[in-house]
Amino acid sequence: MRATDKNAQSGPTQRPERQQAAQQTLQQSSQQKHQQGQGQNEASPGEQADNFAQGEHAGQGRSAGVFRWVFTLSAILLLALAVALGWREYGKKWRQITRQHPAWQQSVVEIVGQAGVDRCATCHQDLLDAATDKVHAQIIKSKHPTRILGCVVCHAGDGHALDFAKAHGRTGAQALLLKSELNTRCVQCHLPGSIAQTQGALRGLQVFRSLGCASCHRLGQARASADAQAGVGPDLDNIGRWTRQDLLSALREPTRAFGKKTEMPSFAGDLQRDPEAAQALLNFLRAQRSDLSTVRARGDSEGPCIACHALQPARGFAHHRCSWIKYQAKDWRCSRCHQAEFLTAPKHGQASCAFINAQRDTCVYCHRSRKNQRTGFVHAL
Amino acid sequence: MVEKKAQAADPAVSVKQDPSLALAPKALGQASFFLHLHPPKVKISSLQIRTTWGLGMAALTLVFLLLTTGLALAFQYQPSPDKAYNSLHDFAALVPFGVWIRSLHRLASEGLLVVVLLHLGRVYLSAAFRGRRLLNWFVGLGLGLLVLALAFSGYVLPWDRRAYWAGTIGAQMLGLIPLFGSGLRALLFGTAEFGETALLRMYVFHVILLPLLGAVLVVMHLWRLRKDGGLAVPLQTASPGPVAMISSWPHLVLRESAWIAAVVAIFGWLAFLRPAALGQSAGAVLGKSAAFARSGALPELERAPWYFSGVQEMVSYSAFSGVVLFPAALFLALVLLPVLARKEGALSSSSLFTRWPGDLAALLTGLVVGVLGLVMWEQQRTLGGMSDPAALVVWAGFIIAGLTGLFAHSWRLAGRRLALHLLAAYLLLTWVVLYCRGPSWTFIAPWSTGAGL
Repeated sequence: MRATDKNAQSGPTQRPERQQAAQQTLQQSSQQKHQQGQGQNEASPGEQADNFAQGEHAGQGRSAGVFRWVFTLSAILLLALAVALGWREYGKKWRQITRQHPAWQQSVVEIVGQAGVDRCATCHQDLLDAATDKVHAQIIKSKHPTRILGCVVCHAGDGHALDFAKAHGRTGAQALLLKSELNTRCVQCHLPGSIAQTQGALRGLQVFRSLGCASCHRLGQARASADAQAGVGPDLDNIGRWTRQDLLSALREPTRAFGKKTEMPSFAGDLQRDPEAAQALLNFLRAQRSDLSTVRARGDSEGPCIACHALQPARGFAHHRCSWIKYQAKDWRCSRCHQAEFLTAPKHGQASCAFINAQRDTCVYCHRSRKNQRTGFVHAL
Repeated sequence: MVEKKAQAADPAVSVKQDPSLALAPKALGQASFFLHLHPPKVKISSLQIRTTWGLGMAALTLVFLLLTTGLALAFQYQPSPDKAYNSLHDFAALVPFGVWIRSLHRLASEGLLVVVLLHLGRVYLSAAFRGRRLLNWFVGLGLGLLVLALAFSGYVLPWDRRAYWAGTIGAQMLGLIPLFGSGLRALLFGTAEFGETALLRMYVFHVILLPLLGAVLVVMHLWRLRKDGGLAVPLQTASPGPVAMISSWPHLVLRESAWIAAVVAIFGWLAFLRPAALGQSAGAVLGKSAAFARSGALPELERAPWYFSGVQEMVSYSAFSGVVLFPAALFLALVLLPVLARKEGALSSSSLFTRWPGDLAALLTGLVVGVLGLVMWEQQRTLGGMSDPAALVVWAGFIIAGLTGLFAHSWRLAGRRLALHLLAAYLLLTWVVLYCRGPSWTFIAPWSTGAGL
């Protein structure tokens, strides 16, 4: 380094010669060292490297050879790993698809809060648009826009994942729901009986109660009060993460699943007697996914109002969308203003403002935040 | 210092005349920083693989892997309950090689735990902590604790369900320590409930505080290694007299390079073949943690991370056994007895395993007492207070150590037997948690097949 610094000071033209000279002296000195070594050990430079390996310390010598092999083998393995990694990354199905399309797509799920995004549309691009969607009936599509709700809320699976197996939950508990199970998921947002599609869930709930499950297990906040005795067994809010097979074997032989001390009786006889009921029950249990039903969580424990009303502002929710109101606030809940009977009634399509508690503080609750800042008045409805 | 004396005593292999030094290629001369990290010469007997098993180097390599993969993860990770899980999920889904990088980080951390334990075992069983190396033994123990703390704080960061429960259980176990437990928990986790504050603090510990501390301790560990006479030698060559030395380049460096490459290749392939799973998000259900705790506790089993599950098992018997008695016995074996034994000379035997009959007996007593204690505990036929499996193991260990000390007149041997006894029992309890514990911590024999819990 010092030699080159001097060269830079004395000018560029002289640099090559001086560098050569410096290199020559370096080489000479190293050759001298070589010769000294030769003189002492009486061996050629090439053999010197292996002096240690072959010479006085035979034990270490063998291990040195082993280490050369270990090093070579590891280097080969690492190269192979690089190739394998690249191959796997390049061969991913979604990368193949996005190579044809400009970019990967995601539906940003607004309502479903913490779920954030669904990336299903990266591959299922035709589903993103109601016009090109051939799979879903128009009625479902129009009321459950994919761009807002995404897919996972109904279908389960893993919305964030792009890998085929992972996204479709082939690897475990995130498995996509079967078509029969899908029909029982509507109750995650819609009250049982409020729409025709909840019939499957109603049947499942009926079996659930008739077999006596509800006397030990709680299932869902809204139905908890009806099953006051529950709490012996664990809550089944998220039991849908179990596979159909696990559910079935646990129902048939609880001692095998939970140990001999379990208090759960076997339902093998009941399930065999009525296969239709067994299927209805399994469908129903598989659809219990509290981790997906964040729509409901946003509506708080008061009821799944937001499921319909936030999606369809024209139907009675319009005035809540006033920009003055921060209805996203954490403690926002329908029952602040609406009476309890109104919230639990299965059909309330004809509801009017008569259901709102006629108390002044119900208005102030939402409208107070800007009260003094601008007009000094409470903003009128 | 020692190297220089040895060179003076044996001029035939002094630095200037060593032919192998001239073989360093020029490119390596530029990288002489790495060469200067090494002593110019090492003892020939240190290079035998059976002297050190290369465990220290393997640990350092894993640390290097952890630092690089951790850096990549840090570019994406967000330490807040509602974002942590998804940020890692996205890292796996969108970042090229994301799954591999995260798996490598996880595998390397668990591998580091194992390698550090083996390293500690090698040093302990070959009594390499004696004499002036005692200080470095303590530095090493500190590093071991640090690795545990790093593993735990990293375990909770993904904020999946396992992480949430691991953190909750860890915080509870910490709170069980008498006198300062609750204060320590408040310091480390913030709130009583394992939540937002705890996650942020674990992040700071994992990413800033513990790595800094670790860097300092690693440097100290290596520096003391040089000051205390360099790499370990087998016991029979530790006798005074001329020591055969050999230049580090290329003999030590070749071995190190091969070893580093092998460790990287092994863990790289493991991470490729066994990708680390990201559990179910805790955040999605954690909005209302009371409801979550009720619905989430079952049917899935809450377990501590596997390296702490032995402690969890002990705490399930009695908090005192798990967080006071057993750690006290470990402290006795690893700290007190080496201190007491510092006046003792080298062992007469030369190998790690020469004393295998006694060692095997100590391992067996650990297993047998553990199994007996477990059977009695599960049959609910204990011998009254302080006779749960963990306590029984500790009492038996004290007896073994006492008898050994009494008859062999060696504190070091007593510690060795006690440590092996405790190790066997701890491994047994870990196995019990991983394979025999069902919901509500009921004992399910591994040969009765469950419903895939």
